[in-house]
Amino acid sequence: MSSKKDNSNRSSEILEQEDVLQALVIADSFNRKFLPLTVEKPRVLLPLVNIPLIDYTIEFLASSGVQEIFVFCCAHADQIKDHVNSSKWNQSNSPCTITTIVSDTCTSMGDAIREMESKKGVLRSHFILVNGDVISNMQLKDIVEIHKKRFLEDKSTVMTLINKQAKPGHRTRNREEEFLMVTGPSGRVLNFQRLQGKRKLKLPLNLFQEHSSMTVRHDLIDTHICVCTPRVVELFVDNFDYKTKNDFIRGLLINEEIEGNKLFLHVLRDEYATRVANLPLYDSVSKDMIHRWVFPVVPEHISPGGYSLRRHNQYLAKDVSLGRDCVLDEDVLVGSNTVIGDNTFISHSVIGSGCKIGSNVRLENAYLWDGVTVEDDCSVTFSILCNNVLVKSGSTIQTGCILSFQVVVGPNIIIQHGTLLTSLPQSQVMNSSDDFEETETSDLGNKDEIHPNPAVVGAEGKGHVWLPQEIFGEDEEEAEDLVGPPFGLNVSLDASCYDDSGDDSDEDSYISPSSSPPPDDTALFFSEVLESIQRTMEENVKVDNLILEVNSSKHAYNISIQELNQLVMKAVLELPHIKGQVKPAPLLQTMKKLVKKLSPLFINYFKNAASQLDCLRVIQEHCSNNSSTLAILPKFLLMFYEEDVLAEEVILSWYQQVPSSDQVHKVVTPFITWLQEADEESEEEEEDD
Amino acid sequence: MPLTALPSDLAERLDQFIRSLKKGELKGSYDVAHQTLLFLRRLISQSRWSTAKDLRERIRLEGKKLISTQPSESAIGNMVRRVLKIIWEEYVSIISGQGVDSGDTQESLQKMLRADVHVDDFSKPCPNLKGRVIESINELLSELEGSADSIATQALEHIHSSEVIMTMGKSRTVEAFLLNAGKSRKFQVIVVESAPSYQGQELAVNLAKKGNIETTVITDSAIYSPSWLDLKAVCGSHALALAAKHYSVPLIVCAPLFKLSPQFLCSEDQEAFNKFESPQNVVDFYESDIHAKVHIHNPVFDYVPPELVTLYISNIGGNAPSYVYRLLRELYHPDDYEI
Repeated sequence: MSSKKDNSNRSSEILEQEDVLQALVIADSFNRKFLPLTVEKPRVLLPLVNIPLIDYTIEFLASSGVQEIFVFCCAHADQIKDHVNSSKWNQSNSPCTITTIVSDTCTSMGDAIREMESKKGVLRSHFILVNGDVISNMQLKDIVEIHKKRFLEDKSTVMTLINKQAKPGHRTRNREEEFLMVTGPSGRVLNFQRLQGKRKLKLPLNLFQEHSSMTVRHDLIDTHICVCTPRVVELFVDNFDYKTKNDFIRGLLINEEIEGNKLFLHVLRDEYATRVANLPLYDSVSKDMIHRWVFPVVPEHISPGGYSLRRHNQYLAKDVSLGRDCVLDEDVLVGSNTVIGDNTFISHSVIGSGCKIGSNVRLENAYLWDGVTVEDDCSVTFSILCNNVLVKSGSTIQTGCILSFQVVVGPNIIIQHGTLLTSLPQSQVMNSSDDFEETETSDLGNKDEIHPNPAVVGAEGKGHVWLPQEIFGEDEEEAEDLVGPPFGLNVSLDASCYDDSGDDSDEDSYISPSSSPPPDDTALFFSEVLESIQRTMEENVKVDNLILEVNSSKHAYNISIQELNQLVMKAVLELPHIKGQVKPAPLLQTMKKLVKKLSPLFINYFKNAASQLDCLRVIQEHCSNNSSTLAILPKFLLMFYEEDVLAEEVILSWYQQVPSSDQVHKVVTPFITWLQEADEESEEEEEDD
Repeated sequence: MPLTALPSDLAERLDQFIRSLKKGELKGSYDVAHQTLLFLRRLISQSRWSTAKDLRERIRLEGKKLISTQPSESAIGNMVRRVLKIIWEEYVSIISGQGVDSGDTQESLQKMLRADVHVDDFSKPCPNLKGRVIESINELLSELEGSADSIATQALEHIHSSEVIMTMGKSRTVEAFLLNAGKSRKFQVIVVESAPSYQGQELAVNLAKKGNIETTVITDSAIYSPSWLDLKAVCGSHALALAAKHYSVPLIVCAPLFKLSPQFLCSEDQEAFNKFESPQNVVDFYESDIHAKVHIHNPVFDYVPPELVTLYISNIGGNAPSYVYRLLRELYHPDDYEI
């Protein structure tokens, strides 16, 4: 073979050009979905159809013209680094440069991006953000062009999300990540909500007020590929509570009115893209791969050794030895140097290289990685057998099992449904590290402490039962992890309903349903307004000054006028409570004083019907939490009415909107009736009520 | 002597070429053949070699790489073999022209018997081999470029007035062939649309617009339905060929010579030579229920057994299938069949 001359000069020249397309690959999932496999190997190096996941991601990026790739690794960083450095992408003739960035401290994708900020000048322009376990055959160029154009037209464009269309119930959908996406006509994302097992979702009212047309979609898969402007990194740094991309999207949409940042959606129809986010997806993506949905990323093209494709989607690598009367049914991929014995039946399976499969073996939906040995008369269904697993003769592995690296089972044993086996006892692994994807377990010395249980793994077996992880109760989305069987097609949907943030039902636009806390700015602004009002009352400052103060804090905290209205009203309502007046009578007195004094302020802010309506909604909300305010509500409204703060029509139209079941409705009905009567009298109508 | 490394820009070009082959950026065998030739010409002019033997080794080596990227695309291998043959011819003619062997370049039966020229292992230095080889490759290139035209000019010999021609899908050669005939003859064309690419529709549009030829588009399943009484079929799929056979209608295949490969298809099983694309065009990925239960195949090519073909029309004229072996003999050196 001819060796290639080093041409690093050329690549460094390219780097100096302005429009180098960069990509940031997050080579860590920051979750435990693939345990116990990820104890020994990071997820991105797990083989899918005999090729490590990250190779697909890099191949995809390189073939869509990305010239500079950064691989960000945390757990098992050294393994990923070694892999990347020895890959073909690191050779001099590679079309892209690839750099690994290692950080041990990151615990989320947000951390990783924040880490990038400290490496100034690395991400210079628009870049692709992608997970290290994404598989795709799409071409990014056009999407990046559209993104850049959009950015030129509108500087507030922040990110283009790329989603793939697939019907609900599609096998390649991530059951744990069902979501609803609302987009405007230009593809701008208006609302994004995760279903998390809920059957009902609430869309904020202002969505419908502000947009004349929108699309609500539930037929999308998040590909975890997005095109980002450099601002994305800043935004992650500014909001250190963003952990995942979903946090980011949610936060961005909540703050949209303040910061004006916009997200856009690109929907793929013909091209394939998805993320191998959990074990059921590992299964379905493997099958998509074998069914050639990802063409031209198909086994015979991407594998270094190549495969020969035969009828019924059988892929055979070189030097495969097939025994007499052995049947490869369909959707079978066999790696190089694998020996398959007589009378063996294999269907829908992926078999790694260097495997030895005995006679009379039955493999269905099995994933055998490299160097697995299955002795005679065994049967494996819907299971993953990692590198160098040995299944001794006469054993049966039932559905949903995972046999991690080096495990030995048998002979003549039945491994029950959903058993997870590792070569090291779980306690040992868990003690040695509590990272998300474990760092390496270094000491293997005191292995004898716990002996393998022969009832589970068989007389000659070597392996320990790994109990599925308890949920670690953290506030991130991993909380709704699958509790059920970790592998297999029967993913229980009910398990994913674990969520406690679904009960927000605020009408107000400033707190849309989400588990994220309201942005800091709003809270700060609120306390400032509260203070200002308090001071005005106590020190008897002129109200005009108060208005000035409020206005200046509005600009300081970048608050929209609608929010300002709501917050001012809220502040006024809460002021007496801060002072400890909770009984209706003194409350009314204070309120009277307040309203009298502050009426210029109210008139200044609640100019039009919409803002007055907002004000009323805030009052309504406040009342629902507060019985004493509720008690004085009619008087309170009367005060406003008399001070000409609230117009009569607005009050009436607000009253129409209040549901009759609400307490507020009951309380204000007499007032409204009076108002209507007064109205009728003044207009000298002759109708009787 | 071990081969030296390729100069960096050549290596890069090779990688680029391989990538575009893998991605399927080059559409059609003509583009592939053309690009392969251009690359080989560059390889010959820019890489370092001293003797014809070195050069042939080099081309074999890089050719192998190219072929393995797209085993189903025979045009790559054909071009590599053609270039190897050119080198061989030029070498022999230079060596013999120098009077070392005092023989003429013509092959004669006697010479074949004695076979003393062939014993040569190409290691003799020949001064202007590079220039002559590149000149020959340029000739080959122009042959390539003119192949569609030269096939088209033969159209009048095969298509007569008021005939009905049936064809399938879209092929530049067939299009030129029919358009050329349409200039002076009046005939009808039935185009089978060839799902899922529906290239037949494009061809039909082109024929009707450019050539003002009476054109009908039919679906793939309707191949047997038109009246085959007065029909002639040009280039098509297995189904079309079988239909032609059934109705005893001649089937003509238009193919430029660069498509003629010395490789023998040892299995009729399609997977051996075919290219399978994503099933996306057949059934949308969006549909959910069906994927787990069925296999959806989307082959790009079809196999037409030679016994169903009446005549091959190449750029050097029409040939019966039985004569193809002779063409192979002329185009390729038997030693190069296996690269």
